[in-house]
Amino acid sequence: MVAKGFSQVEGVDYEETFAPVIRFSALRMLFSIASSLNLEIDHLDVCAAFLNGSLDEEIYMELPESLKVDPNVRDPVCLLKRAIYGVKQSARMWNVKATEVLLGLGFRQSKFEPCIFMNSFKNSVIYVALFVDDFFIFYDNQREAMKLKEALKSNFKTKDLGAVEYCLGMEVVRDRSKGEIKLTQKRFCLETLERFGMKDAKPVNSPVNPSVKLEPAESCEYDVPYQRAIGSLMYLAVCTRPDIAFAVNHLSQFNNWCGTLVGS
Amino acid sequence: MRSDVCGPMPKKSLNGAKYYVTFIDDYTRKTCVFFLKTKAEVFDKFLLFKSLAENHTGQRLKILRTDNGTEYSNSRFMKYLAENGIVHQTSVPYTPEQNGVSERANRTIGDKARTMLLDAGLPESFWAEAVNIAVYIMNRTPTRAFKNIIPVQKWSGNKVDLSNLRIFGCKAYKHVPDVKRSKWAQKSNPMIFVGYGEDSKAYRLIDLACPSIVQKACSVIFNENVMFKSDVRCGEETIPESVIQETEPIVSIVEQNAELSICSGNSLQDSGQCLNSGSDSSDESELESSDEEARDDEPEHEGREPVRRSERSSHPPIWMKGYVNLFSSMDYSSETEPVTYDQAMKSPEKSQWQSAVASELKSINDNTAWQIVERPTNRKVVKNRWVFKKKKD
Repeated sequence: MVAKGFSQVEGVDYEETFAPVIRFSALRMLFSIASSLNLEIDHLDVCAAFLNGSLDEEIYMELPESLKVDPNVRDPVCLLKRAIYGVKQSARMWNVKATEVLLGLGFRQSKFEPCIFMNSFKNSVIYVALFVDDFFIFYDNQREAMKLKEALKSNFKTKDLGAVEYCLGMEVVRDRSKGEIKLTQKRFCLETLERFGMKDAKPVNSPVNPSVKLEPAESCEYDVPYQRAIGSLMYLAVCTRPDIAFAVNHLSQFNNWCGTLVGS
Repeated sequence: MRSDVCGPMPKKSLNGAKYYVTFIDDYTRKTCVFFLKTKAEVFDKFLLFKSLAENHTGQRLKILRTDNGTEYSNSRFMKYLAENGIVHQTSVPYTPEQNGVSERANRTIGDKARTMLLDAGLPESFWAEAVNIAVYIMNRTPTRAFKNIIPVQKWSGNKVDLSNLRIFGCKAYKHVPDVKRSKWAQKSNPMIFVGYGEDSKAYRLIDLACPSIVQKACSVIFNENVMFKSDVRCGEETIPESVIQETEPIVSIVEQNAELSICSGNSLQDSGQCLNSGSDSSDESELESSDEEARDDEPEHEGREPVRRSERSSHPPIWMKGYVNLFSSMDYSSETEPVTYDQAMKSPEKSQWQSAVASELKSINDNTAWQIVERPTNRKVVKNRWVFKKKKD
């Protein structure tokens, strides 16, 4: 169920809509801290996260199809109490709510990365990274972590996924004996290849051929979801594969020429 | 004003153009032609033509009539036309008849240019020069469309002077200025006539020794009985290698005229002498095997040293073709997921969708996400929709 938030009126139905998410570099940094301090990393997922965000504005919505209501109300509509999906400020209101809860638990918010929260005790430390509806908890004291999880559970309906395995399309592989944490995106790569029908394509070592000069195509010969493919590759470059960043950048210069496909 | 693009040509012109665009003034039928490397340049040429035409005639461009090609029907072009109050009339798709003036002009230009190229025996890469001349002649020929008026005459109001017309591809001797030659040097250089100067009163000539440069000159003596082709055949003159390389079908020329011979020489100094005797075969093979020369010409580049540029047609390596095929053979339409609530309720997975809807409403209800109230009078009511997605993991 989504509201068609695009018909909301600015200043009446919404004010601010910005919501921060964590930067990948910050997340990677937390992983590296975790590996050097040997912290545990747990993953907590909030169910229907946006429904926790409360709205400051009065927003009315038509009744959704199939909803049965009290027949006594004449010409009924929904007065939204919570930021359901599709409302413009939903993400922000959820973020505000989550931040509120964490601050209420005594956490400090990073000044540089508004999605990182930290708390330190006598000889233990705990970091929380918030990525929309995923909490990643980095801790070394089991008891403090349990306390935090309980507190979050009492506020939201959450799902404890235990030690983190899969985070934002990245697989987390941990080797404690070597004290290392590996982030890979093998699964994402394979899925992407499959999605664009290139599962059987031959792998090459260099992401882009320096001797091929790309030019905008004069006419579009192929109906190819070029921009979608670029988007997937961009995500890959941002997360774990900086080596293809140049190739992706180069190819994305031709985004608006639905062009002949070469390279990558 | 009417316009149309013609191309791509099988061979690039000397300057690398593959298309030409014509602009035809409906009132005088004066035709303007521009040469393009890509169709995307049409817009720039249009701006050029517009300012030129408006300045010269004192009239404003009001209507542009074209076909539906994307070179015209793109957002940039249409935005410009709309902002400047120009009506854009397009023909109905697949009905080029409605763009008759432009299409007929293309044929007239093509016929003229082809005939001239063949008559002169110049290689195909000279098509742009031939087209240029064809348009030049067309603009000076009475048009049947309006009581035999002459387009340029009507355009400018001045009587046209046709005394400068020459045969395309004929032999021309360009005078060498006194200061540039010594006492006993030859007073003229043999060249080939390929066009009329646009911005100066001159002829456009190419030097056989260096065909990549189009030179301009006004002190020229023509020999209209000798064409480029016959020049090659009779071997009256020396033909430097570079020119012969240009004429790709050189082999066939040789075959047709087996009894005639090709002379070869390397520089202008030789050109006065006639190496009349039969050419040796080594020459020929040398010509064929040597790399293609780069060339560059046409209006902007006159009289400059040519920049050497590869003439090979560039294309991605063959091994890359597999990528495209693989990529494009996919069916990207997403899986069949209902778009509307009605569709979901009619789909075979109706019961699953129904339970999904119920659980969603329950979750909303549990969180008391909304209240049912009467419709407010002074507020906008936001609409909503169901989004159906199948989760795969």
